[in-house]
Amino acid sequence: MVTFKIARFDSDKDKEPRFQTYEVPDEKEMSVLEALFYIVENLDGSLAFRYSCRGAVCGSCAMRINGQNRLACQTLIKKLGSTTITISPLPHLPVQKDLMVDMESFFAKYEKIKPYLINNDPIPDKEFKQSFKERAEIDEMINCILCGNCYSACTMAATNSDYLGPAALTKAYRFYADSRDTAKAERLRIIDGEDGAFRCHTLFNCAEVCPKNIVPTYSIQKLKGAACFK
Amino acid sequence: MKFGKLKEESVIAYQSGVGMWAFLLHRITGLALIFYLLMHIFVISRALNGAQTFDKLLAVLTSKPFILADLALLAAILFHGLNGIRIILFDTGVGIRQQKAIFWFMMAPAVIIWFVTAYITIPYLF
Amino acid sequence: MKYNKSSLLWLLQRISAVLIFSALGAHIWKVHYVELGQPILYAGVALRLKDVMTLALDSSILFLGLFHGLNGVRMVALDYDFLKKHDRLISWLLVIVGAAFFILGVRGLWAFLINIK
Repeated sequence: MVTFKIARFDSDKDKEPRFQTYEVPDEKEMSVLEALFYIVENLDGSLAFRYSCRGAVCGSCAMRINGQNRLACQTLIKKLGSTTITISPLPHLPVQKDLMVDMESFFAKYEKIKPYLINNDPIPDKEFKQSFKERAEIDEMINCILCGNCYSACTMAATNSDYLGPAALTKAYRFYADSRDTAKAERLRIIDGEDGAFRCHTLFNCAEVCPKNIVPTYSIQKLKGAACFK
Repeated sequence: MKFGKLKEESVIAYQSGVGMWAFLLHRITGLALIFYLLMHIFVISRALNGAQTFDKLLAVLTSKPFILADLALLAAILFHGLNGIRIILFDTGVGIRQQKAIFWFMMAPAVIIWFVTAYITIPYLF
Repeated sequence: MKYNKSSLLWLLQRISAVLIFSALGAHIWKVHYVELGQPILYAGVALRLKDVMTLALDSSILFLGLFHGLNGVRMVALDYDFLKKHDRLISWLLVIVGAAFFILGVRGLWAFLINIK
């Protein structure tokens, strides 16, 4: 049996989150998400959490598991190596219910950096060509699934509510460095300034928690250089 | 809608890797050093009151407790300076993916320099 | 090249850091450790500052240190919502503190050159 200590919060009943304990029989290769399913089906149907794909593609089930932001579907119980597992919602974000947090600020900042390809050149006959080398530079950033782990772990995003945060800046670099994108000057204008790339003090909390092993710091450092020497 | 906030949420203690602690120490030593610099300027400017005042004041500041305090100052400078080099390396695009190794690589000379200096200082402390 | 204020300050923070790093080692070693245990006397400092290189070293550390340190304090302030609100006020305060201590420091160094008895 594995003991789960899970943060519960119901805005109608609770003033602040409290912890509730559940005993879950652990099976081989069981993920934390599967344990949450077990709790909902057999122990407590009122537990609320987000999930969708169950395969680390959608980024919905980001939560804080044993002190670190992780994806519940990607985290195997045996890999955590402890018989007590504490789960709480992503830190520094307002809790809506139990393990669900309000991602509003995260997506508002994501929209700010214009997360789409901008190319006003005349459309070529076939396609916008991109070499393997040009694509390799943005391979890593494209893997971002917008789970919010890095944003929630970032101290600067927590204390400065205007800071764009690691995820948005990583995506900003993904388009800035895209050989097909033509809005480079505009992108640099967006990430410049005290609440943009320059708020990053290279803490690497974002890199510690990324489920896709992205190092957002790399993108942010590249943006700082580009914004300074434009 | 009413939102909840977890009580044990702290700005400091979470997902801590080497980078987080390096940042925190960098900030603490940085604030300590600017405070020291202002004090230092103030003390040196006492020379305006004449050689005698200055010599009396400096006799206190070169006494044993202050030699010991100087070692703390040196530790702060070594950490802030060498971690600063690490940060500038990241700014030039070097070693971003090896940040932890670079941290320990930078701390090695800091520790060596500090201990050598402490060894030189010991005779003056007793 | 056109610099935005934040990227310019970011760059100057780095440049001053490198300069301080190279200058401070010599300064600390000379002042704090070469004559360890000996009293630091006004006359000795005055003699040391007669050397143009030493004077240039000390005054550049004075200027760069104040800039680097106080700009660092502003960076800390910008990290927090409750301090960031008062950025203008804090920036001006830091400029005033910086200017005041720079004048104090220059006057201090000057005092050794004119040999106050």
